[in-house]
Amino acid sequence: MKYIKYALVLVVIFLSGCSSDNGNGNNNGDDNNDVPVVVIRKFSLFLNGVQSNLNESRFSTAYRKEHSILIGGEYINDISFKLQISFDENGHFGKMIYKEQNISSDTPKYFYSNRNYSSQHFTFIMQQYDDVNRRVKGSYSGYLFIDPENLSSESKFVSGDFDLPFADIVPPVSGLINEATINSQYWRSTNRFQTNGDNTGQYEELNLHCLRDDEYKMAFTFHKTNTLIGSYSFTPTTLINKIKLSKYDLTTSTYINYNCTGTVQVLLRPPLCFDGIYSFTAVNPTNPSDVIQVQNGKFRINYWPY
Amino acid sequence: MKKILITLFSLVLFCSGCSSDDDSTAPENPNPDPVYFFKLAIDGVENDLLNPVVFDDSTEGTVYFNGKTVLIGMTASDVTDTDSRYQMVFNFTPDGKLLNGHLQFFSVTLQNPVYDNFIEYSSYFCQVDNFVIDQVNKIATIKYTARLYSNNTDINSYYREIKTDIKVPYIEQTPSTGFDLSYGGIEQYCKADINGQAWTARYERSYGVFTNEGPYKIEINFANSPTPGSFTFDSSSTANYVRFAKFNTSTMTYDYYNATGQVGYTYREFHGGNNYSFIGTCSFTAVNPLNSADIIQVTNGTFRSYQHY
Repeated sequence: MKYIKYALVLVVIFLSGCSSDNGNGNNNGDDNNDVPVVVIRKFSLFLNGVQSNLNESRFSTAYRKEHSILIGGEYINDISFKLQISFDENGHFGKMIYKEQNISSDTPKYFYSNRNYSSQHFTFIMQQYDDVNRRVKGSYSGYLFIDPENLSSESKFVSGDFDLPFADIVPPVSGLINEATINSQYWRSTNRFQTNGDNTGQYEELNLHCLRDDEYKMAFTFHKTNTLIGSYSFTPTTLINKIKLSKYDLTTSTYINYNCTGTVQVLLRPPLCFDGIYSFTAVNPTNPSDVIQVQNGKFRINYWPY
Repeated sequence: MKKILITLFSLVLFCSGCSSDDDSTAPENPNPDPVYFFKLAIDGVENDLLNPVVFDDSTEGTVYFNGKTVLIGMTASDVTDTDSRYQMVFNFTPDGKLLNGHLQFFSVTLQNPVYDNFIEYSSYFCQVDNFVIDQVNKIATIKYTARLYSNNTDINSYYREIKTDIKVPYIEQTPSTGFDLSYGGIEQYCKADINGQAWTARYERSYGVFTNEGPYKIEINFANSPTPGSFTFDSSSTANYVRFAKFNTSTMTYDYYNATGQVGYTYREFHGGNNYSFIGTCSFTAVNPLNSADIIQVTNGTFRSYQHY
């Protein structure tokens, strides 16, 4: 029995003797690395006041492609697409798209934020943009419409907030942008869409519309193949290789198309893109004293070829 | 006595169980924990493909070595519909000269844009800061900057800037058993000593025109004749000649030298239609027309050169 007790004491000594070198309870300085870092990820979406199941488990990360920050998917026809919320690092709203797909229906419905002067119809607040820690936080609320140009079309009221890390994505074509000073104020588009050009039947001609959440809209008119690298002067009667500025009139809920005179230079043709610089003067057709100077314009805009 | 034995046994056990990290009996490997990384930046967007910063998407970078070429493969997936999935491949010689680079995005909205290295003098247009293939420890340490263009024949076209900084174990591959060089699936070759240095063509982008990762270009021409022969040629010859050119990085075009010498073929292989491979030899002297002191001797030339009539 004495031997057993003696052996037990020695075993205790043996075990205690095997403590770490520094004896402070930490085996090494790397132990702190084992503590899991909790990354805050929050996302919510309410549809007509009812919380949806689209939350941070689905949208755990926002994505940044240069100036564009994105929550959700990019390509709306992707089978995994559920929603898209886009904005820039300055908190200017781009657009929101929500896909509704009932189990009984193969055809999804897409609801869009209103394109025109979107801040009048959609509230987007970016509370935090942390470029160092790569986080973004904000909230949103407003109506989405079946037709982004028609405030009377079928709609849904959406709201929610987000607090997410973001990751940088390498864009297929880098440097996509349309920026300028409008009456000396910096302006950069956050939303874009495409229509046919102004020449009826000329399907190679494109209108590339650029918007932000404010009253301005800029449209570039180019030919897919015939607009080559070069300098183009334009006036209000020019049909191709031109830029048009429009300003939304809240009283009429329509755009005033300004008469634009200036120059656009195409400097490069990246894949499915026009790239260049521009400056022009825009005059209100019904009020010649209403003159807008657009200067230091820089663009690289992609287009859909079909 | 038993107490003494137990005490001694326990002390031995105690001492043997308490070896420290800096014990002289520690593992023999002097570098037990090499740090590996696979840093990639495309137009300034950085990622470490071994520890991707894109939380939801998987990315991957791998280096392969087959004894002849070093292949660097990089991919980024797109499980979250960012419309930006890509695959990128670079091939280098074992001593770090760029052979080619290719980047393809899988983007619906931008219709899968593709970017390639500028095809002329590819090694000049890649800044290699470090290139070590450690064949003992099987580790690749590679750092370079290169541009991939939307038009691989136009250095003024839109480009993507690729920067890598890599240290990873590489994967050994068996060298390909296919042809090193072919035209239309038919084996070709062109080798010579250029000023005493062995030169081997890697590309025949148009028939009879041979280049590699360096600045030189050799163009071989034969008249459509079934009779083999040896021919003396100079820069005024209109058939049965060799042209020699060197890429000028100032003008971004080839400077053609005045070449004078011998070219011949012993056999021409018929490929159907008016297509042949000429198997022959050449030796000549090439003189820069703008600098007569710039003389290049091309000797021991052998080739299998495609011709279409």
